[in-house]
Amino acid sequence: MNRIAAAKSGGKGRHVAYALKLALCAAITLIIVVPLYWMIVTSFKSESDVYSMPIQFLPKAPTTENYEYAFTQTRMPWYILNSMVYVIVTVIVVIAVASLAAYSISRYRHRGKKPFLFAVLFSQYMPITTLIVPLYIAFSALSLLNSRPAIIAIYCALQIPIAIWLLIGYFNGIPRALDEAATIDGCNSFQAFYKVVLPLARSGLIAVGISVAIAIWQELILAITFTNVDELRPLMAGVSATMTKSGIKWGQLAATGTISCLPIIVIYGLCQRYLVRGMTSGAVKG
Amino acid sequence: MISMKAQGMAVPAMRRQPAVRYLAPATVIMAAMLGFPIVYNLVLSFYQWTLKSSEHPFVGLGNYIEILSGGKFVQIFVNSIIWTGVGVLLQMVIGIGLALFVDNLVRGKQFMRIILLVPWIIPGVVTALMWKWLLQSDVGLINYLLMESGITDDNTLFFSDPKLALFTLILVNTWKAVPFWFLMITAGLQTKPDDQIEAARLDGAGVVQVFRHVTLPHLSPVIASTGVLTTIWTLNYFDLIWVMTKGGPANATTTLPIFIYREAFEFNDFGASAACAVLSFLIVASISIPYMRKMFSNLKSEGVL
Repeated sequence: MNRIAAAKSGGKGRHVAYALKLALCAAITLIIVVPLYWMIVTSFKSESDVYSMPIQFLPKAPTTENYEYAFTQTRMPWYILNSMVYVIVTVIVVIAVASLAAYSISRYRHRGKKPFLFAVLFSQYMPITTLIVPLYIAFSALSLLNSRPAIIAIYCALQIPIAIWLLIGYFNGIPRALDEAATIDGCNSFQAFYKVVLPLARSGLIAVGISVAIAIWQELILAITFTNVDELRPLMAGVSATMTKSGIKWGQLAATGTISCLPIIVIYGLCQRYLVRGMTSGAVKG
Repeated sequence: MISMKAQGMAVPAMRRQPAVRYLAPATVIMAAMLGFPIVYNLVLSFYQWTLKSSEHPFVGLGNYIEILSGGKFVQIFVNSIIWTGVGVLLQMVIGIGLALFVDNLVRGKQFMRIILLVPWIIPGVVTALMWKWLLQSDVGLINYLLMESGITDDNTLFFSDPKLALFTLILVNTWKAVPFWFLMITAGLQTKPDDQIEAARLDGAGVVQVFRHVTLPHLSPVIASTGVLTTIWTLNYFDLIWVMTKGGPANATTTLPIFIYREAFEFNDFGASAACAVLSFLIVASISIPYMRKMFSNLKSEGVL
């Protein structure tokens, strides 16, 4: 009897604990999903429905007018194009330059290694605000404000250190014996790097490429400092400019915000593993 | 063994050259776009540099004195400390709690991990947009829910009330930054000493005791490094505050990066902006350099350096 009662109450306790856990999981999910849901829902409401009371949790008359407006009446297509150009060029340059440097650090011993690594680490922590005034003055003297190459150069400089840091980890994981064997087979050191080490580090290169792409896609402060014409502004600078103006139209803004998240959510869905690896190995190890 | 030795002797002279060449492109870009600005920023901080005149006289420590003696700076400094200190503390407590909670789940672990990382990948500008919309004083969803449920009687002015604005921003930033803590602690928990935990359990230790005496000591290196990183990032973070309040109302949410940006590009006082940037550079350096020392000694013991 006693035993059965104990088992019963134990079972009850377990049920309560399970229910509590489930409730907590639901609450966490809601806190994360509701802001996104609310933005997406708002983007499909007409301007009058956006402000109507009582609040519509689902749009009564869903419409795509906000998206049509964003694509036809605003500079958003330009902004998206600019962002894509900045992302793609930066990723290519960063991968090329950083993988070469990381290979050097991973495979050779020399006196420059320690100061170089110091610079690589420190530039990841340095406040970007230290750069904007001197670069603004220097760029305006060289008439490089509102120039694509100039802003891409800054983006590269900021992403190269973290990329080097991540890639050193990946290259160290590839046995040296492999590139030494390639050297014996007649490859020079660049060929050993290019033909043997790089292909083996493919997953590392993908992880770095994704983290650089996401960082550039969301970058704001440099974008608003070094571009002030619509033809060169990336998406985040465009969104930020609309938000800090008065008379915000929330329906349209929600549409722009939804579009800004879309590529990142898609990448996250497809390559979650790479993304997580890029984030953890960059920070924790060290 | 013999062949390795022979190689080792032939290698150094031949090898040094490509090593330096491979570092050259990265070094040039970093020197031009990071090294030069740091130095030039320091130089600029000793000059009076406004857009009003084309003359830029040397003023020594004038800009520093101007900033430090202005009443505004105290407020901005205090704001930065609250923004960073309270913010990181919240991220840490919630992040660790969530990591432990999810780690102990039997079902749904993977789902919760995927969901919990979402805020981290949403761009700061969009995070600001979503929350500013949710927290609108008149038509925002949160005010609507608060009033419908009878928790508040009036519209809460999350952004225009100077007493509330900074804490509103801290909470939004917590939403965005907790995933990083969650991820780091979750990674740390993967190597937790399960045998020790089991032994402690068998010896009659409770959940709290196991956490205090086994799990927490195991996590402490991860907590320390994540703490340093998030402190620096939070202190430097610009996007969220800029898009939501631009530092207002009346500087109530102005932190160092916001102040530096506005001094330069709203008030056109580049000298004062540069001087403030030097100060924030020094603060960040004083936090990060001891941390980097530790990383370097780790690298040495791992044989990387």
